[in-house]
Amino acid sequence: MAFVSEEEKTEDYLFKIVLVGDSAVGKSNLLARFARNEFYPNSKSTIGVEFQTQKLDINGKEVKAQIWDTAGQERFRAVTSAYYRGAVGALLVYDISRRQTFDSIGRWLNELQTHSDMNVVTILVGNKSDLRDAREVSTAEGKALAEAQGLFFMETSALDSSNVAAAFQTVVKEIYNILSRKVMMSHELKKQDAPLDGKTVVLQGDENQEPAIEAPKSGGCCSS
Amino acid sequence: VENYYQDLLANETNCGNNTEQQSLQSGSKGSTTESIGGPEKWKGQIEKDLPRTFPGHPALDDDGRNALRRLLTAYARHNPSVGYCQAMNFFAALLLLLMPEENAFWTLMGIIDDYFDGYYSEEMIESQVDQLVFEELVRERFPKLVNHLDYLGVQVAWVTGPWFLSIFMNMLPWESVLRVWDVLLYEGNRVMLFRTALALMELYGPALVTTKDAGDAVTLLQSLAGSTFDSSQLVLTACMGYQNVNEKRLHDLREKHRSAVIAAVEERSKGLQAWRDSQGLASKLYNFKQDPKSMIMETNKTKANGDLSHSESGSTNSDEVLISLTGDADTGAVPDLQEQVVWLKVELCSLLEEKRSAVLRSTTNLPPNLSYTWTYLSYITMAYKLDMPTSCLPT
Repeated sequence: MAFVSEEEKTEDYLFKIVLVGDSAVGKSNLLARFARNEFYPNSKSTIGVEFQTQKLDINGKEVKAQIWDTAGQERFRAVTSAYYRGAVGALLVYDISRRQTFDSIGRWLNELQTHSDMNVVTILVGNKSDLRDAREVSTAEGKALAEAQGLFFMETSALDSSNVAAAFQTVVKEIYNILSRKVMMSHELKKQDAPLDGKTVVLQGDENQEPAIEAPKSGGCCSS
Repeated sequence: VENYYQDLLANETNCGNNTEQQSLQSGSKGSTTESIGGPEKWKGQIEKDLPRTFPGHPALDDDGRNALRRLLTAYARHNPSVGYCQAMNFFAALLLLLMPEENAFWTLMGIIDDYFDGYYSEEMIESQVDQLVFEELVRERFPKLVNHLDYLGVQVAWVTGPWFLSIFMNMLPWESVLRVWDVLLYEGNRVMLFRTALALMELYGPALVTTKDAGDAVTLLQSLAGSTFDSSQLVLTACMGYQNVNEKRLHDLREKHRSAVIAAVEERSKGLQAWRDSQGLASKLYNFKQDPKSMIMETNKTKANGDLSHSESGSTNSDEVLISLTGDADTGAVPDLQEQVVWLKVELCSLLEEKRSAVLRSTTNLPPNLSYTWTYLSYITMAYKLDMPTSCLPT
């Protein structure tokens, strides 16, 4: 759940972001690199879910990203899908050196759409870009899939840390932008109502109202 | 029973080439064979996890990994309905540290087939049931804590799910893990999982109710659990404090919750099937974003709406909770200060915990070898146990 506590000037944002994708594509290492600038050639397999909070600076505002790293083995999906609830962002990760992990993306996307309670800002991440010689999925293919599904796209390497921070930032920035537009709108509405100061505004994924967070629609931005 | 383990492994040498070819084929054919799930599809997963099991531990050199591979492969062949599930790699590796390979196999079999029947199978039904049961127990025992966690939007299972699935391995300090395993193996059921988790809630509940957001709560509970170095206190609290959480009680609670889990699993597999069908159609039409998928999206949305109304009512509750939390102070300014104090305390507490656990983590490591008395105890227990249910072996 994303909480936005509106204090006078310092706005504090908290976004829940999930890391999903097949086993051993490097989800935990992306998180380790991003949150602690660490990398383990052999990190331990994730059982269930792991969790980390990371602060980011977006347009001079402090944003906290609450990142949930999930187990990749297929049978854990029934268990891990509970963690998608309330997520506003997702990194959908595959391994560019294993085509199978790219082929699973459709299923992960379906999983995400089924179990998260709002439209989630999603970036497709082709990890292990350092393994140039072992590449099985071309950049163009990744890009094309992302475009077709209306996702952001980036190739990363947790090993040499290229694009890792950028991938997380892309998601957080987009959520922030969508949210600040929404906050601005609600401010205008509120001017007519009684002012709410120091109260907590809870962002709910209510499908009946206008969508709180909208994933970029088809043909959406695919920056790389 | 004599050569059961050897026979399972001998399979490999006979049809080793065969399966290798199959896995190569499935690799080249991609998702179609993948979704059907060829024979021994767990092979790849085991290979992925071998280097990710206690990385860096001296016992897991090439020989150690080969033993681990054999053990996991033999188990997967012994019980194809479970095959291989992540977490078993850690159990198997621990057992290999403590006993000869074949004994480790029988022990692993006893644990997974008997104590954890239905836990690590494809649907993981019993694992999900246990989480619902545990949540009910926590609600009953620690209403205040649960109230606060509800207010933060934290589900207990987020943290306890991994605890149960890994039987606390990597979640508690090693000494505590081994003490819990000791009791668990001795008792021969999963009661100790519940008692230990309840004890942890009792120990750390007071700190948890001071947290201000979901992230802090989860992080704090994880880091506190990770620094439960007083294993005696833990085991004592668990075993003495929760004696009325017993197999009978758990059995009844499981019965109560199981149907809901099974229904959800069925719902899920139906949705998956529908999605697969639509994908098949879509790929035939060479188009990703066609109607069948959006139809599924529709049904999903209606389901999501149901969930939402639930979470909305949750948020109205949370306002009340907020009020009751700060209810002591009547004036406007004081709660703010109080909240800040609480927040600072939490920050400080978690920082201290982090530091402490980091220091201790660097000094405590995996159990070096078989020097634990519990090993013999549990080993004897297991050997005794395994003599009895020869019926669970396939003939």
